[in-house]
Amino acid sequence: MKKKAYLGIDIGSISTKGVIINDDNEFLAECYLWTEGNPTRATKNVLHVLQEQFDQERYRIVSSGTTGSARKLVGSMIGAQVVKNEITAHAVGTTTLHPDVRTILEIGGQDSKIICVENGVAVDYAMNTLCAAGTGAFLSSQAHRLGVAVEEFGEIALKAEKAAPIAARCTVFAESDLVHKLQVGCPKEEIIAGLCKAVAGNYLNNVAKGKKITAPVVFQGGVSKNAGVVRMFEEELGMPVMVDEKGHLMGAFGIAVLAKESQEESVFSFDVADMEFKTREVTCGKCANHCEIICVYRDGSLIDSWGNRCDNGAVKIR
Amino acid sequence: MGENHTIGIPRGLMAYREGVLWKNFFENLGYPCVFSPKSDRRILGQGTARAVDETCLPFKMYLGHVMELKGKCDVIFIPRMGGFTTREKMCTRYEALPDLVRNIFRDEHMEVLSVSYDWYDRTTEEKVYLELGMSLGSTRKEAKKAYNAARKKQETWRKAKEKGQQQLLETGKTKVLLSGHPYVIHDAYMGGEITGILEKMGAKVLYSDYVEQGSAMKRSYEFSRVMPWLINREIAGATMLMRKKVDGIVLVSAYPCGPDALVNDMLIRRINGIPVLSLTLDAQSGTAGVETRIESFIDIIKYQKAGGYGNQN
Repeated sequence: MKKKAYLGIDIGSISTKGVIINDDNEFLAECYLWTEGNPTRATKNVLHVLQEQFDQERYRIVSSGTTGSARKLVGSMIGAQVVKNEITAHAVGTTTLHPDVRTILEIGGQDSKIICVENGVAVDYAMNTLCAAGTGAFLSSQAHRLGVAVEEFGEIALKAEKAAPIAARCTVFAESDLVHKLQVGCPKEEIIAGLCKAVAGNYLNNVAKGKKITAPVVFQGGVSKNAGVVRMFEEELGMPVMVDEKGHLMGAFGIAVLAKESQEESVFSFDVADMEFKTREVTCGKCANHCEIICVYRDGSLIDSWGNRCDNGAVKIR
Repeated sequence: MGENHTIGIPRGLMAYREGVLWKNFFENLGYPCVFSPKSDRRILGQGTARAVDETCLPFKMYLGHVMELKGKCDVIFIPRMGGFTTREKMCTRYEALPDLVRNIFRDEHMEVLSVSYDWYDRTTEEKVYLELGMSLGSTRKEAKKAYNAARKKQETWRKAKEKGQQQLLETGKTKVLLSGHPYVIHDAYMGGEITGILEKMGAKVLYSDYVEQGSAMKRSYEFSRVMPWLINREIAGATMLMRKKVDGIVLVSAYPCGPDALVNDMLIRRINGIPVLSLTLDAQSGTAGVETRIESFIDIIKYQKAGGYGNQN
């Protein structure tokens, strides 16, 4: 008899993450790659990578879950049992691996959030609003301007003696600030350290505004891989900031745990990775709201739809 | 204005708070009233097209409602409200409303009927409505009778809402208080969306403006002695009164509301011990962002009640 395994996929705006875990929450397979604006293709690629790592002789996937901004689309694509928001997924994932965690800081490609935890359950959270300043996308664009790979930012920042003051409230202002610093001959590493400091400061003053940050603190999301930002957080907060080796996979891990706990089981097949999925956006004309309805097709037939504000716009699945 | 002239009332801004009074006052004087339909994307769209960029979402919506009444009435009722006391003033939008509308639609020659009052005039609601009635050709006595009956209707309507909400408090379901300006939380396109999502997730929705108004005002003076905005007083007082009776509070604000930006920040720090979600509505068409935030919020409430993850199923 094959042992049970659980699949979790976290489809963010910038990256798509996938994990497969067993009953003991051990990672059997994992994958992290860029979404590149195409969540269906990214999911297929993730599934291909997972399939290669996954021991199908010993295990079978009995339940799956999706989270992240494309969770609905990919959820209907792979027939997920659990489709949940990324706040809950991250909270579940992190508290599973770090039961004593009190504060979760997360900075991703386009969003950032803080989750406050008490007794192993999230009690409060906040997310960035309209603006993506101080997220991964901000760092990437500045790296591009400096001609440095964003992956090297952390290492370079740690070499700096001091951080150049840079405003990170807005990418436009940060950029003009940055150009000014370059023109006055400020060393590159100090500018990069300044950017890292700006990201941490921006986060604490905006997303985490008014939230009580209690130790132990876990920092995750793509930006947590940047050692410069980690150090700036530690300096600002005056407490150690833990970065989990699997921090970038925490959402996918959390949703896999939730899929396991749902106790809903059905057969999952990697075949979906080779099927054709298309989405179509239809504007409903039945009332003045003109809802944008998303229709998902698998190999040409409609499998799911959403986006209608009322039943008039419900699209029938044949 | 002659007999049988129809008065149009835009379904926006203070109509959500005092519409019953207005409608009944005019009808008691013999004028039929017509409200614009419920908000939808088209109404917001046509209002946005006529408004300056920087103004708030509810004002853009209001302009859309004014346009909606064109051809359906003879005159549009747009009150100018400054507030009656120095510590209970109104937002500048309501202080300038008839002038803004007249000016924006100056080429369309819209007939506007108005009342006007200011905190520095030391006047009363009754007095301004008596003057309005008399300017429409009624005697003082007729106007007074019409006002008193309309005021009574307004009170009855309020009491019914307050009572209904009080009964909701006794249900065992997850209760979420929607706190915000009445024209945001009750608008079909703005607050209606949020109510819909909350109810879909199994929560019962309560509203800050259906909390007993007198107690809310009283409580607001404990919250702040100097805060000058009447509606924000009602919101803050009601929220503070309800914070121990509900499972969570959603503060809803429409971008870019100045008073909300100040008061909600203070409110968040004063509400202790229960989950608070602060939502700012903008003219975005997609609801995905709002849905994610509300879903996370409801999860927090539910998992907390269940005492941990994994206990829910």
